[in-house]
Amino acid sequence: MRRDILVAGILFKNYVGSFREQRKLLAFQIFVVVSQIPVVLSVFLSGGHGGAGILDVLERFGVDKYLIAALLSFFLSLLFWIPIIRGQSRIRIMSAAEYSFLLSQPIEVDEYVVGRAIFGGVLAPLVGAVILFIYLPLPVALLNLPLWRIPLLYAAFILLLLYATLLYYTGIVITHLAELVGRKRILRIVGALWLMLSVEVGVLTSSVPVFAQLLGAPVAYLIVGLMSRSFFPFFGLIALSSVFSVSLVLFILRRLSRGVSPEIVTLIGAGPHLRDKTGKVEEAGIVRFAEMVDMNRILTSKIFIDLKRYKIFAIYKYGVPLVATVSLLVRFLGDLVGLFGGSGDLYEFWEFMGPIFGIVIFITIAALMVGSVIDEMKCFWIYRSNGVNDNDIARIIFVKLLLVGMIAPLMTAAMMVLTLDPLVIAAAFVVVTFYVLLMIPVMGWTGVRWGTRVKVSPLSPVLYYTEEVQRDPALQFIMMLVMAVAGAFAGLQMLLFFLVISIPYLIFVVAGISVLLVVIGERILRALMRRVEMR
Amino acid sequence: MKLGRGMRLPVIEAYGLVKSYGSTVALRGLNLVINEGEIYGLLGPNGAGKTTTLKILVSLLKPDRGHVRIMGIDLHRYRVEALRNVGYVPEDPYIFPNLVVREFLEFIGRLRGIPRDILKERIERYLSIFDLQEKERDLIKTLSRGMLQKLAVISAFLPRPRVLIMDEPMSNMDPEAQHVFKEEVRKLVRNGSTALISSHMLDMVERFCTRVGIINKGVLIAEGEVDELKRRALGGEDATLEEVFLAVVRGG
Repeated sequence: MRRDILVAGILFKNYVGSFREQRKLLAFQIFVVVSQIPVVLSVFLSGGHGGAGILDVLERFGVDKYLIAALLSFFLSLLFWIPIIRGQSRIRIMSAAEYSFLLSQPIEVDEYVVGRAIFGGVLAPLVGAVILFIYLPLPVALLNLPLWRIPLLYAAFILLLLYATLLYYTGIVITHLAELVGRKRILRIVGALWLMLSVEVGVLTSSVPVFAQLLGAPVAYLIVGLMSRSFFPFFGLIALSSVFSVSLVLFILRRLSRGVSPEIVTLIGAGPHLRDKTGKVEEAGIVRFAEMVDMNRILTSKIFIDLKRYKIFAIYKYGVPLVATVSLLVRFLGDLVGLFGGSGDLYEFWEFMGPIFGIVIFITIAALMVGSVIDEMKCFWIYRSNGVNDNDIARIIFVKLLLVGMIAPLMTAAMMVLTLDPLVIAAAFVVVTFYVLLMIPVMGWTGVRWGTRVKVSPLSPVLYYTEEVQRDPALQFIMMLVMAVAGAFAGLQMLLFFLVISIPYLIFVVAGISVLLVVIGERILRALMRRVEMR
Repeated sequence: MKLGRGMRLPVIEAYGLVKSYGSTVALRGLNLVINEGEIYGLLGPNGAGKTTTLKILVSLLKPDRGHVRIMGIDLHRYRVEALRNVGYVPEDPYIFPNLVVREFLEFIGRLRGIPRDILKERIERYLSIFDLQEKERDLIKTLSRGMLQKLAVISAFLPRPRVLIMDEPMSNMDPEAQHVFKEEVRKLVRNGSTALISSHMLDMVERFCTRVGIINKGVLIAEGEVDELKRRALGGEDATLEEVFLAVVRGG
């Protein structure tokens, strides 16, 4: 076990070492604390009504803490079964250095596998530190729970993430072992049967069956217990069993990993990984640039192909209408069976949830936004050496950011359809759009810095994992800064949303400022482009 | 400019280039003049400043001091006009991953304003000679490194530029593609182009380039035709370019 922890330690040091040396971590933490004041303020300004609203609505749906814990247990268990069902028998890593350097050292594969699982489990809360920091105390504030729950919640959440990682790795290792003995297909069938039975029994009995939640239960009940007003019975035992479960899975993973081959680790290089998949595009889907004359059209078409092939337009075309339709259906069916009672509660609940949805969606697409700029900047040599004007490059990057970013307000507005209140829908759309426009220069700047300085994999879902960023303290700081700025703006956005709901004519003011932000954003990108150097 | 008999017009002119990255000085007053019709090989050890020089010549980097003229046009003041004459191959070409091969080449062709019929004809030809015909509908992100290199080279050849600036253009290419590449460069040069090639492949440079420059620690320390360099550095033409290179670099 000592060597497993050593491996995890090396990976961890490689990841955060340079950052620590720069003594920026402390400055960053202070910055995050200061930047989150608007978020905390907005929660307290809502007077806890949002929390009460959530509980009321959930209770009407028949959702209590037992059901939430059962569902969380099921999803945790699912993490073990997902690699089995998918037949994923490889640990995929992005860092070339980790692959070629660490694996060539005299360490056993099982030590590496367990060390990496621990590293992954520890890294997850670190990467999401800001999100954890902002959102974990929210239930404590909303439900008026004692403040001493906050540190316990942090600890439990870190335990949850470690446990989830260990379960996932165990699933991969078991699939790999099954592959080695030629039983992978049988294992996949077992996994699929587990999933089918879980869903079927769950639907028939309107509950989560025990076998579906067994693996995840101890840790899930611990988390939900800490977030509820009253603990579960025998909560001390639950806490103990959760620590025991983590240790047990760690032990099992260690034993199982002794039989795996080094091929369990594969590097996600852009080429070999993607070459496994077919890369042919149908003749009808190919854009005919040769037929185009106008430079604007040529450059815009290029951006549209990119977004189309990244399935961004599919979100606009299918995702947004689908969410709006589901919201409408939920509303009408809910009214039909009297689920929502007085519309006041629902209004309050949704009024509170609106900006949170917007922020969550935005955070989800933030990496996509930065990635889309990185994509362009890594190809900046093509634009510049072929004599494309810098203003034209700035414009297409702005359009790309806008088209990706507008997913957030549209999705939020589609969810707000549930209220059937034009003011809430419009406020959600306008305020989240304002937020997106506010963030575009930040995202643009980050993408430009990243895309021109380092060899990162574009559109990687977790850009922070890339080897080059790990090596570059300046980039790490940029990443942290962007997240903190996004968090600070998110708090302001929540305040703005409440303000717009109280004083509706402010919608026009915010919309007006948004138009101004479009102009300012494009100007900022133009200025950035003029200064671009490709190192 | 009136030139004497046998004299050639300078196509790439760089004077007093200085470039620093923080405390690291990459170029220390580099002067480089390449004349029309030359295939100029730029050699130097790792970190000598070759890639920095090439990037400055295509305006991907801005020099701290010094200035560049391409075909007599000031690169700093008239960048777009100057770069219309240039075809560039970077050291590690990253190309729009979500375009297919044909789309990318058409895209480049249209950026350069190549007439439609000529563009189609050139794309067909280059895809054919570089053996990429079967890949024309493939997404670029699925190509191997060698194929990406070929694609970058084709994109530089496509507008038939007056100036070719290429950083390690043959890395990852198979021998057949290397041969095709050299033939195409020779053909372009015969038709009035000029090529600047940075490379570590000394055998290739020795046989392929008409003039060679050796750069070390940010300055040009030797320059001339290969035979001339051999005479100057080692006092005889029997030496190889590798021996000359080592003698010049080690001797400072």
